[in-house]
Amino acid sequence: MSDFFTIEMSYNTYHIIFPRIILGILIILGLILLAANIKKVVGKEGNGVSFKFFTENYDKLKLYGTMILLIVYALALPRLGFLAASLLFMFAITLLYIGNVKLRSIFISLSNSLATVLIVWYVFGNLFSITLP
Amino acid sequence: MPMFEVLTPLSVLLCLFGVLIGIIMGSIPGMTATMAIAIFLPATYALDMINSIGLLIGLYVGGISGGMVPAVLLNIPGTPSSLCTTFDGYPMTQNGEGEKALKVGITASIIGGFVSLSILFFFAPVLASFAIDFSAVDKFLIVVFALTVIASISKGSLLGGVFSGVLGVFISLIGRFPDNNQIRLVPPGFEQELVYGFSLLPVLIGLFAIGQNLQESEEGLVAASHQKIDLAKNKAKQFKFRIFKGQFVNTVRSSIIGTFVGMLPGVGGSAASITSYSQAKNFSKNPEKLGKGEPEGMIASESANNGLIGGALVPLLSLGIPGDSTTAILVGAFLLQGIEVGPLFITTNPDLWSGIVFALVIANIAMFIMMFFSIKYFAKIVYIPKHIIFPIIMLMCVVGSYAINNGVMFDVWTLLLFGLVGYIFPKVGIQIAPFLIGFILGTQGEKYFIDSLKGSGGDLTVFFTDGPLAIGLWVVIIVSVVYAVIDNRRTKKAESAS
Amino acid sequence: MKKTMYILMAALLGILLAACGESSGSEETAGSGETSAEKGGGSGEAALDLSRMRVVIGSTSTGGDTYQNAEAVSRYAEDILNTNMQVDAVGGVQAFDALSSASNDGSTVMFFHDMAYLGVEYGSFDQSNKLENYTIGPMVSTNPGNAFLASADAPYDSMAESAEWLSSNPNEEITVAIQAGGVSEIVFNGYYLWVQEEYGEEVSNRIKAYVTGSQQDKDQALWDDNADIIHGSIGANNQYTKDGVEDQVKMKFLGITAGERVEGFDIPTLAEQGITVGGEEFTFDKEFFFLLPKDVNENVVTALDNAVSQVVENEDYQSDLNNNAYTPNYMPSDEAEEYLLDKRETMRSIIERAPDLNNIAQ
Repeated sequence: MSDFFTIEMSYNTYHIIFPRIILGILIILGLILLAANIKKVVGKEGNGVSFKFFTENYDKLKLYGTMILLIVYALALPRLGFLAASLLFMFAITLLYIGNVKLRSIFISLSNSLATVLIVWYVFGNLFSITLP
Repeated sequence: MPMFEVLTPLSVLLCLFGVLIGIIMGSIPGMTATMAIAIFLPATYALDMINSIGLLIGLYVGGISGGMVPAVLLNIPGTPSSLCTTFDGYPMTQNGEGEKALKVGITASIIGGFVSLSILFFFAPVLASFAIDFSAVDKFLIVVFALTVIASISKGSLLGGVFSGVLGVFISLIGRFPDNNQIRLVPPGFEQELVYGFSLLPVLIGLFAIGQNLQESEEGLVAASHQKIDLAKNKAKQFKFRIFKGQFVNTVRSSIIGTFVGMLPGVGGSAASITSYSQAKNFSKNPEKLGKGEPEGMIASESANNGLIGGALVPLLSLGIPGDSTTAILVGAFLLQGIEVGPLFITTNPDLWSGIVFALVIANIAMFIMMFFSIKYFAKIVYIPKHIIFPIIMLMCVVGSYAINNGVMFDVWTLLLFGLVGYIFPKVGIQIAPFLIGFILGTQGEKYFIDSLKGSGGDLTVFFTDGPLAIGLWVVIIVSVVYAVIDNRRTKKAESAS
Repeated sequence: MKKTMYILMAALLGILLAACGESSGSEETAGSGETSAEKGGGSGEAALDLSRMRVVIGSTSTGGDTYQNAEAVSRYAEDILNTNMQVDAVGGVQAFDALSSASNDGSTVMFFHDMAYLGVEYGSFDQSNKLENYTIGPMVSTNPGNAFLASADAPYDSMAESAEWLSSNPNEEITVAIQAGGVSEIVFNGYYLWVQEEYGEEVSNRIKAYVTGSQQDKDQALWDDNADIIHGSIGANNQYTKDGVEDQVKMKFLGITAGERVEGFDIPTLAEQGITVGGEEFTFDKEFFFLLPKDVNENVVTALDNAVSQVVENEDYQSDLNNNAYTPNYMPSDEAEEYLLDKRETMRSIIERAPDLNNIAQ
């Protein structure tokens, strides 16, 4: 019986002991959850679930725009450097969030972008010597 | 007064300066107390030890306290230890009680600060052995105990919450196991980037800040209702010290839990406010309200994370063992000056020792005054239009993620990846907070699990036979779980009845 | 830019002071601003045309010896090079990563110790990071305090005695706490091989390894009785060996691995104790050096050589190092390269014969 409570400890395998246990627990929990959900669905005679991922009439432009801009920004950082990449990103995303291209919006975006990026660059990059992208 | 024999006027000023910068850094999502101290570490070289202490202690106290600002107002924990502050702080903001929540938090912080300071001052040498008497088994059980909070904060499905937490633990294991340098769970091609796994800070702010940002973008960035509430007119939403009446036990208990858990090297930093929050919920007269905007929860979290400061300094100053990542940097500052922090530190450096204590007193008071009277301006952050504040937050998150490990581009990708995860998870029923708690505690859990087994030769019964401390911890763990299950049932019944 | 920061701090302090209506300290703060501005003048000799130089180190800790040595040399060298040197504690793998993708102008350099090649030999770093794939920069300093310790009440006072004790107590075992894949494993290997050669396998088979992480973990292993001997250093562990430390945490040194004794400490070297491997005295000095990108411009190497050679002459720098029992140990790049390749050859021969941790770890 005591064997059951003993784990073979070997230096080469230290790193897989715990992940295995956790994975085991995860699978068991997952199965229970699955069973519970199937029960619920069957109980409601099938048509009870209408799973919707997106909220109704979701803002496609802003959602995908944000994702794309973030990815482009991360890609641009090592290539354009911190200042150029951040200025462009801040300008574009502020404009996207305002949602129109009126002169006033462009002005707001421009000032938001310039002010934030320059302050961050100066205070963190130069005064505090943080390594910026 | 002996205080000013030890502290030079310059050190007092540097301390105030440190608190100010700390509060500002802590308030910026993506910047942490640890980072604030790391930034100023090279600068301390030009200063005397006593002056550096003033500055660093100021930064530490300010940084930890500042972390509550974005947690309450924006639902973004500024530092990992303010995670639990979001549970009640943000709902309060949504009720238009942002300023009140912050003032509750600040008051709780200073109380936590002073409770832990007195424990540090009077008992540091005695408690030294407490810190090292905790064996690996006990530390593992503390982690398990902190994990039980997952059960009590699960919203809706208890099972779903536990699943989310275990998933968080699993994700935290990605990377290299330090003992034998073996890499596991890493997708092929990412061996270089993921060797240390995902970093905590980008994961934390990715899940909260970027995830929330995507969520709001999906909804078209409409102004939230609480952005329109006029605070001044509503008396019930204003802060009064009377809130603390009836919260005495909670405040002191949370401060003490924060201090003692903070003392445990290795587990302290992240577990302190989590454990104290779960205790506040277990002992609360109306646990179902916690998590929906109760000052009680704010108090538990904030008094514990300031209690942590004094706690983490106990093993540092009485044994030379840093209690958390921030105090680890403090050791660096001492060593730069050629001062050994070890078991004889207090007896051989009585001036520095009292300097530290006085600096803590000043920093706590300064933090309270600076924050309490400026908070109404801070609270106005919620009125800034989203199209201005969100881009700023995103930029700061990117900068902070890049800087947290001193310039690693992969951390920015981690931020974005977990931003997406933070957006998708709630939609598929995985709860963010339990996931994150699992992630924070996972690697420590593994370390002490393996260490325990190394000691026992693989015998699992060691977890029950290690000693009275272990048995005691098991009792608390079981009580905590049973309580959470009962609470969950009751909440469900109440919901289905209404 | 650190200077700008001092000035800013001084300025802000000035404002705070004025606000408090206190004038006594303001001269002091203004003074600190001036002196740092003066320092900013620096000498233009051997200057590099870089506004900033990033020094990545192989450790993630800002409290360890790598950071301290990197920080000290950078602080003095940046004036000579007329640039800003920023020490970034990114950790071994990330540091190699940054170095291999760095440009050849010297804007990113690495600072590390013997683990740089030991890690490759032990497999904790990828083969692509072997010394040949980088340019070896100047050697800077040594941490001679690399040591073994035991509880103060252990029945032996040196590493040699521990083997003697093990041999005369056939039912006992000695467990040594080390970290895998670096300096502490190599010195443990040296000890193990010596016991094997001197006392035979019967004795050496009773030496076990407790493999763990940081120094703190090793200390805790000793206090938890999970280990009998730990690897440590004078800098980190001396505090626990002093009189007045409580018995529960008290330790004693069993020997240092360096070739010579450290001034001010009465700790015998392993060589003095007669510990040999393959007939030769076993010594190991933990040395810190720069690593540069493979294709780095020649003038960067020259400038760095020149800067470090000046820094080690500086008395302030020397006393900074002495504070933590480190010693300056300058060697120009070409010499350092030859020396390190030789040293690696010696260590390789030990590693080849070393026991597999899989067999001796608990």
